[in-house]
Parts: sequence; structure tokens; C-alpha cells
Amino acid sequence: MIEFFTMDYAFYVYSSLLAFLSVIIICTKNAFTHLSNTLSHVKNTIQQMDNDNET
Amino acid sequence: MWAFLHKMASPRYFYKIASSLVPWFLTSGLLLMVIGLINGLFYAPPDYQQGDAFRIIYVHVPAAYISMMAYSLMAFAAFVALIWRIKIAHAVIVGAAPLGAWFTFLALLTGSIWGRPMWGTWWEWGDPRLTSELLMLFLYLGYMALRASIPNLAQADKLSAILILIGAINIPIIHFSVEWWTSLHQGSTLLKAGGPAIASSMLYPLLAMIIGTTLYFGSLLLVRTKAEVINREKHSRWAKKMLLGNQL
Repeated sequence: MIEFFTMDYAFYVYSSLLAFLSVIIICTKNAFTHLSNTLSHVKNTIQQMDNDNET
Repeated sequence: MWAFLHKMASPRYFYKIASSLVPWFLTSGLLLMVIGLINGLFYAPPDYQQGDAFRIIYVHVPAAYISMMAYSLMAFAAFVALIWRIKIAHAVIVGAAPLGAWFTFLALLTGSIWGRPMWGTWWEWGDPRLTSELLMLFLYLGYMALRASIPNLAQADKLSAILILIGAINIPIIHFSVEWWTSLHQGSTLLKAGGPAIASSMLYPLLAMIIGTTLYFGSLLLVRTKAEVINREKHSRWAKKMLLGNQL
């Protein structure tokens, strides 16, 4: 097993890993937030349309 | 197979299937990525030329693969959408674009980080692989900007699909750039005549990362496509019934 901090080029390897993990977190959060916001927006739009039709 | 694809073209059926697939794709994708990263970073032997710097391959190659695969998928969906006018295809393109842009950015960033210790430079404008990959990032961003600038949905769908198809010419250029022109970038390691030019102890973690990232991408693509589908189908009865439930 390779030592965690004594690895050659550790700065470059861990910088890449950090970039990868950051993108994974951002993409996951964005996708689920987008779905949640869209569902909420569409639900409100449907309710608004129903209310308009009733009146 | 055709019956399944035909069914998947129905927004209602797609939404239902996507909802059940997301947890499986996401969990298995993340699990494979953890296995691939731990084995690649800490157990695979160092490269005889690049030493431990080669370990950047475990994040760079999956990112570069997804960036090209996502665009290829968008181009295929654009073709299907324009020829057969299948609504789901436009939703898939909308869902894939931001993910493809992020992974292209990641491929460029990790490639640059890898290039500094190996080539002695963060970036080389004259290199065909680097510049064609950068062009693909601009294509993703251009697609999203074009969509956002056209208020009419049908027109936005059509024009952006045409842009995607024109940009698809960049895919073979990226792939073959290291063979057609002189490049700092190394040649293909996995898709090589005579089999992969990499030891199995280094190859298996890489395959785990590629498959894991693909499943992860698939899960987020389904989530984003679901959002686009429900937004487009908000006037349909099934969407109302699903969202408002007993209130109808």
C-alpha cells in the first residue's frame, strides 16, 4: 500500500482527487435541487391553473 | 428491445422507469467509484516512467470519457429528435448538457494538473487534444446559452439540436487527434489494437472508475431528464395526477 503523504507528486494527485470529488458533489447537489425545484414549480403552476379554471 | 425503446418514448412510462432506476444507478456507481479510487490511489503500483503521478489517470480518464460519451449521447438524441420527433430525446439532451459541461471542465482541469509535472506546462495551445477538448466545453456552453436565449420551446429544441449535430464532428477529432497530429498527450491506452497497454493491477481500478462514473452519470442524467419531462408535461393528466394525487 502506498503511504498517504509520502507519495510522489502528492500535491498533483490529491489536487486532481479534490477536483473530481468537488465536481461529483456539485453535480449531485445541482441535479437533485433542480428536480426538487422543478417539481415544486410545476405543482404550483398546476394548482394555479386549476384555481383559475374554477374561478 | 424495440418494444422497450418504444415504451420509453412515452413521457409517463419514462418518468416511472427513471424513478425506479436512479437509486440503483447512483448507489452502484458511487460504490464502484470508491473501490476504484482506493485501489487506484493506494494499491496499484507506481508507473515505471511517471511514478505516482500516473494515478491522476483514475480521475482524468473517467472524466474525459464521460465528456465525450455525454456529447455522443446528445448527438444521437438530437438525430432521433429531429428525424422521429420524439419528445423525450429533447429532454435527454437538456439533461445531459450541464453534466457533460462539468465533466469536460473536470477533464481539462485534471489534464492540466497532470501536464504540469509531466510536460512542464499547465497548458499548450498548439496541442490538438487539449484545444479540441476545450472546443467541446465551448460547444456545451454554447448549446446551453442558445437554448436559454430562445423563449419558444419548439424553436429552441430544433435549433439547439442542429447545433449539437454540427458540433458532433468534434468527437472523432478529439479521439483521433493524438494519432493524426503531433501531440504532447499520450496515445490511447485502453482502446488500442492488441488490447490495453496497461498492467491488470492498474487496469481493474481504472475499469471500476469508468463503469462507476458511467452509472453515476446515468443516474444524474435520469434525475435531470425527469425534471425536464415533468416541466414539459405539466399540462398532461398523468403529471397532474402524480403531483397533486388525491387533490384531483
